[in-house]
Amino acid sequence: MDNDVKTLLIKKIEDSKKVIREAFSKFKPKELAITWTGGKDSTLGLWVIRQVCQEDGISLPIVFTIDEFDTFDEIEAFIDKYKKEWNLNLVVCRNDDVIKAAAGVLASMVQVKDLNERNRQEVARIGYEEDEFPFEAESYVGNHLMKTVPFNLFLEEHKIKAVFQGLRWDEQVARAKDEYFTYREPGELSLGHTRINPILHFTERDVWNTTRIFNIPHNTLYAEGYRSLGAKSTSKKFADVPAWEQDLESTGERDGRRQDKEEAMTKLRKLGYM
Amino acid sequence: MTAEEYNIVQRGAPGMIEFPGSVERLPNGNTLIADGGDELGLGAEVVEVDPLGNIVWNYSEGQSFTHSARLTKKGNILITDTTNNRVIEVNRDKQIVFTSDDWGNDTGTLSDGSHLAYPNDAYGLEDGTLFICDRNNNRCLQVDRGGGVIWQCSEGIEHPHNAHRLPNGNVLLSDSDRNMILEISPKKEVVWSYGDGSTEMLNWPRSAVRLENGNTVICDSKNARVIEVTREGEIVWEFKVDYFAKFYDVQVLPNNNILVSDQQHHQVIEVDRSGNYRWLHRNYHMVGPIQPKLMNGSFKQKDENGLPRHWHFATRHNEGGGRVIWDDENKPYPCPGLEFDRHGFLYLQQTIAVKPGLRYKMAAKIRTEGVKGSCSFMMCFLDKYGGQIYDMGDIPRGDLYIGDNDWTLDTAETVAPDNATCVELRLYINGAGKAWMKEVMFHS
Repeated sequence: MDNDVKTLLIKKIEDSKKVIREAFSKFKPKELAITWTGGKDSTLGLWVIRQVCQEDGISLPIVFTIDEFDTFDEIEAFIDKYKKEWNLNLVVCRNDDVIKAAAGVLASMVQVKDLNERNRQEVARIGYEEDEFPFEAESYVGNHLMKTVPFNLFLEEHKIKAVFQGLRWDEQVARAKDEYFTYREPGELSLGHTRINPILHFTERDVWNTTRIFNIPHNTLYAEGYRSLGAKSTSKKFADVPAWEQDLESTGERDGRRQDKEEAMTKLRKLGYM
Repeated sequence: MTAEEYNIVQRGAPGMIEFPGSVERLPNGNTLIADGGDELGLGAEVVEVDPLGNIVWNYSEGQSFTHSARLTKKGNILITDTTNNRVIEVNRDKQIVFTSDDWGNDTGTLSDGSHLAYPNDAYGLEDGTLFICDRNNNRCLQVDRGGGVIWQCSEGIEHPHNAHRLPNGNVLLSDSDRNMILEISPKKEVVWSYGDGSTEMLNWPRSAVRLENGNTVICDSKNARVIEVTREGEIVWEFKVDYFAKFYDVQVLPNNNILVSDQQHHQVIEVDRSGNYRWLHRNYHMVGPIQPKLMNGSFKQKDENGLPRHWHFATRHNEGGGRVIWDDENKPYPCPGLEFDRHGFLYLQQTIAVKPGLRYKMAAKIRTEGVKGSCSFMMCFLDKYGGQIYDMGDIPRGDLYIGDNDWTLDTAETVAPDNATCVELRLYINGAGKAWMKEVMFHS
């Protein structure tokens, strides 16, 4: 890799550090938390935040990961390894009540009446009309209960005011206007908080270049060909070569060709009707 | 009568203005308005309204997405009946005295073998011939009453609007998709133009009027303004509003006031050169009802028309195509979808009340088959006048779907804008293909 690439990445890391330092100037370390999924983006984010903390003598904020139940063993092992190696104060958040109601079986139907009061309130709040829902990542209700609810409960329990995340502008067309700091207003069952995304300006290619140049750890699934990791049952290998050797530029991480969508979006803007 | 039935009776009633197109102040002081009708395809008509707002005449027979109505020398009204791909002339007794359907032995075919496609403006010329803006054929043309093409121009024009003859014999037109106003000589040379193609200068202009002093007044639709420019291209006057107005047609009145149609706020306004509102006509009933929360997101209930209960099938921009389809095999309930086969849009939508500043999440599972164009699920926020707050390209939405996609959980979230009162939650499809939705959710 040539020096220009490295210079660019160093600049991008410095830009991320500026965002992180701004976050530490606005919030106390105890009010901050770091989202970590064990994927490449949040791992890069965590790595940069750790550097800032070491350079500035700040204690690393609490790290949390949401266990959606349908998790890859490789990700669990990776998280476990670096929890120890990086000496992280790590909290694993999981909605055990839903898992219990599903008897721990993926794709089984969960009866709303079998859930605890908080989970029933959540189902009512989002306006779900049915008596049951499937226990799977592709169900919005399941997703809400297994991801959003543990997230909100974590914020409540630890009195967190701001959360670091690992989103990037190039992930989706719709994300291109995201800002480094966004405030989330309080809702019926959720606290107001700020979301901080220090690596927004990294492209997927930048993430891999940085990871490889600076020897940032990554879990083994990427080497097998996965590009984007979510629930085990819905994540698929993109190709049989490592993620960083794939054609990242002309294809989307999750879906179809990025170029086609951008063209369709341009056409939509031109279509005069609305 | 249920609330829903009451709303339907109100909508599309004669004289309601849902989507004003051409506007013309008549010699008698009344205003002639072409109305495209509401989102569900109801209420297309031509309305004449007096200065006090009384509806003194209207014509709605068989109309579909009417774009223009112009007074002829004989006192008749020449109408572009857009989705029916025809131009008609009616007298004040509402009799059709001319229709382009008669051309080519009742096939509507012109002498060059073509058919009008989405005509959006037509004027009667002094010699009795017609001058028509034929949008989807990307041309404007002069024809005789028998469909004989006398002159036409299509070079480089994309989706023109409001083409008309100037007294000097040239043609002034809005080359809308190319963001330009053109003056074209009979030899088809561009003798004057305004706009460099950038949306900063003009964003989808749809009408222009040449003044006696040589200046041109332009409806710069998506920039929500009307401007007056000199022959040298200098802007010497501007009327701009702070909402997404999408002004359509403009007329400069003898007293120098500007009459303009505002499609998003469903009104026709007359402003003076200081920007004061001197006259306004608004008589709009929103497609409703507005639900307090998402209803029937599981599609358990179907209504008597075969539509999912509480959802509306919006066809105004469908160019005559498309239908609602059902996947009857889906469990636990059949789920609805849209099938489409042409340019334009089709929506299946529901209107829900929102509070400004609150964050809303939407979710649906989407499946598509052979989508050429695009499909998505979106949150189209409306202000208190029923005006869309965002332009099509900026509406908060989930992913864009092209081609074939198996069931995918589609989610998006956004904060309702400060001026939002409700949202139209919509599955839309553009181009051709099929798209289905199920398990729709919407909550704050």
